[in-house]
Amino acid sequence: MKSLLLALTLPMLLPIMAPAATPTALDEVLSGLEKLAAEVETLASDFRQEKYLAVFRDMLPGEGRFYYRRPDRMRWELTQPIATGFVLAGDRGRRWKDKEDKSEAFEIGREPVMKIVAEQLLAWTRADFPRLRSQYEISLVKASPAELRLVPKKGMGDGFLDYLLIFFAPSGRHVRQVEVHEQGGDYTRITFFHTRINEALSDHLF
Amino acid sequence: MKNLAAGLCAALILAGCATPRIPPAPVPPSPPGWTAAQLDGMLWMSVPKRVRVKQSACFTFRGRTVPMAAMMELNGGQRRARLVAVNELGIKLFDLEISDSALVEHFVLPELARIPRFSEAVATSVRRLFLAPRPRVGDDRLDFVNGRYRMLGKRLSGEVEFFFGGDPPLLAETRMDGEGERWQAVFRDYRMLGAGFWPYDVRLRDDRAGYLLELRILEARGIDEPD
Repeated sequence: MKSLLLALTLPMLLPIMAPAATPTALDEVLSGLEKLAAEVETLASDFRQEKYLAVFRDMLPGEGRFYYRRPDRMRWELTQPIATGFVLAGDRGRRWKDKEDKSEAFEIGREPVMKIVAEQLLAWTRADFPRLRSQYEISLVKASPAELRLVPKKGMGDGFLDYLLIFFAPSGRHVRQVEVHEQGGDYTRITFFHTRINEALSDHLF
Repeated sequence: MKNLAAGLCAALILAGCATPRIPPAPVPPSPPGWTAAQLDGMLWMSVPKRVRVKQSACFTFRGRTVPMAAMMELNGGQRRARLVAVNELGIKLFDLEISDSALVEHFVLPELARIPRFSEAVATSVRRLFLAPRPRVGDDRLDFVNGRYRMLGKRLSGEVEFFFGGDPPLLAETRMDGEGERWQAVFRDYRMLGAGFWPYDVRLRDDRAGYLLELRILEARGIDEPD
């Protein structure tokens, strides 16, 4: 579960991370992505989410919006098929269903799942790249536009996560698509579009 | 006077504790002359083939509200259902196989598994909405009053009422009231989906168990794949 949450929160923040020092093709790509992303302060994007359920050989569709602002603000908002979402802001959070004005606050420390989201978010914002490599074997599928494949190392993934695929936009400035493949055949595919970078984001979003 | 005051207080307290019923949707009057078998035949659980249902749901139980998107395969012939639900991040919440009398937990998110009897509450909801109780043609009493059909019957857990309204008559409400169970399910805004008429808006409230399920049925289609 921890790895799945990590996988879902990692992709939009990947460009913010620092590369490892080894001069491989992967490092060069990551270094390039890092340079492109160095000036990213905010991200705003629409997304389409598809959950493939192997037991039914069928897809559950969803749509929503994602917002991020350094250093620790994140908003994940599903608009279809159900209106629900959450905001993480430091050690505080709030979530809602249907209408945001009826949101309920929560302390991240008391919410195990949200705590993991927040911890991982901060880890990636702090460019803890050694931590990423300690958890995943990363390979370069394609250099341009960049495509990465992340396989959890032994002990990671709770026997749940199989691998991740991360596809960057041609500009390299943001993630275009992520696929989280689970053992057993289920996967979640999130496609980001209408992505805006460094757009002023209203405080009320967070 | 003292007794009157005490009585009034008790009445007020009871009124405060009692939760109002979910109002059924206003529907046009049904035409007269429908038989119990015809009414039963209009139920989605009467469809013998397997149906794939996509839905969004909000389950409020023991003070916790869980919004989810879900996919369910309903086998009306075998009276069983397989339900998988995910949250807003696509994380799987549970995967349950439910029949009239059994529940198989293929997966339950640990955080939800810690809520006492969570899976049982979900399974009970699925049974009530999609599997049982059903009208017993020939046993339950059928009335036609004010353009609405009512079938009334006795079950082990109490007295059950099925209300049908509209033209054609479709299930608008189910009520169960007994020592063991007290709950109400309301079905509104019927739409013609791939597998017949299905209510878009479904609400189930169980006063005894203390939960509310709000459901939106988005898609229902028959499937021909081998089981």
